[in-house]
Amino acid sequence: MKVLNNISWKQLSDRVVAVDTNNGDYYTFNEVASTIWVALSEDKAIEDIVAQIMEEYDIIDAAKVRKDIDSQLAQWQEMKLIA
Amino acid sequence: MLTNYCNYKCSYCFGKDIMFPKSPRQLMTRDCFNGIVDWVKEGPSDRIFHLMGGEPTLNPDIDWMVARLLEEDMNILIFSNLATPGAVELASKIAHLPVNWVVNVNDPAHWNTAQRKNITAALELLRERACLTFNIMPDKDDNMWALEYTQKYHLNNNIKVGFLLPTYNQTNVALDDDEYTVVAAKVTRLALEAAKFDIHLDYECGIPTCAFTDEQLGILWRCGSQLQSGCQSRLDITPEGDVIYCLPLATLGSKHYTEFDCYNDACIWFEQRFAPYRKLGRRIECATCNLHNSMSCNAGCLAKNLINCKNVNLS
Repeated sequence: MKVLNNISWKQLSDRVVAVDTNNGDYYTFNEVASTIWVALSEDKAIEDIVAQIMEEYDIIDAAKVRKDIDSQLAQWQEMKLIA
Repeated sequence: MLTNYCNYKCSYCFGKDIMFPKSPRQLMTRDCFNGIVDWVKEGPSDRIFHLMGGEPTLNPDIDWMVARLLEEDMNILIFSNLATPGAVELASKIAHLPVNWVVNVNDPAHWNTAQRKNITAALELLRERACLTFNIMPDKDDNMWALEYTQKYHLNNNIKVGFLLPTYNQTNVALDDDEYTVVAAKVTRLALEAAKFDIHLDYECGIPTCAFTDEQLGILWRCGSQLQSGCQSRLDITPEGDVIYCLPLATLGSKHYTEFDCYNDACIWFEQRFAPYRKLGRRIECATCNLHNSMSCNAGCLAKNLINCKNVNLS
């Protein structure tokens, strides 16, 4: 999955802000979502993102992290931010 | 832009990306100028035409161009550092005409002998037709020289100050984020001192309101130097007729003026393309800032806000 070309975004400290340049819709992500977004933009595999989140946030339940990431990605797909 | 060549080579120049020597040296021709005048004159209702550069007095046709604009009853503003012999010559020819000058100056302590001679000679001629403009640096200079010069040469009593802003490509020297509050405090001190001489501050674009404390904003308001926090450039046109949104964003996109029916069409084209990016802001707090959301503050300089931004595309 990749960030769509019409989604312009940047990091402001530990958060990501994004704007859909087609319609002007504006988004701010929380810290964890921002971590996932940046990792996704770096073409990291989902398994690597899971590992990164577990390490950065000291979580041991990999299945739960995977489920949350899948849910976040599905939401972004529905919002037409990634495809 | 009558030329992209300048007699100064300021490290902080926000036009650096399209100035000589980074770009080939260019002079606007009379033909190109004529075409642009016809294209612009039906456009902005204030009919103010900015002659700028580089250093515009280095274009040997500038006096012809001024005369052409006066024929069209346009209001003229010349942006010059006055440090060239051509500036003095032009000032001596047109000081009596309704042409105003915005004089880009640095601390006079840094002028060499020739620069000092030209600048002071031109200021002597221009007097209230000239207003000083300069960047407030995060250094020890208290900028009181600007008040002295404004009084000594009976210049326009509005002084225009700016922050050091980056080009999109970060090729120049600009303020670090933590220097904004330092400069804001200096602006406030200068405004307080200026008010004693009935001199007031205006502001270049790209200054975010949140650089100032509420107390500082109140002081500025009380001394008649109320902060205007905007980032709304008039379109710039290069010596070869390419329209750009503003100098710091010059490398992001341009179109030749002949691709638009008129100036207003060009404004709409650029505004529509840049509008979404303005929402990104300068800090995360911009997302929930009432000033930003009500468009009272554009979150500072757009070029600065687009640095490190992914997927910036004007096409």
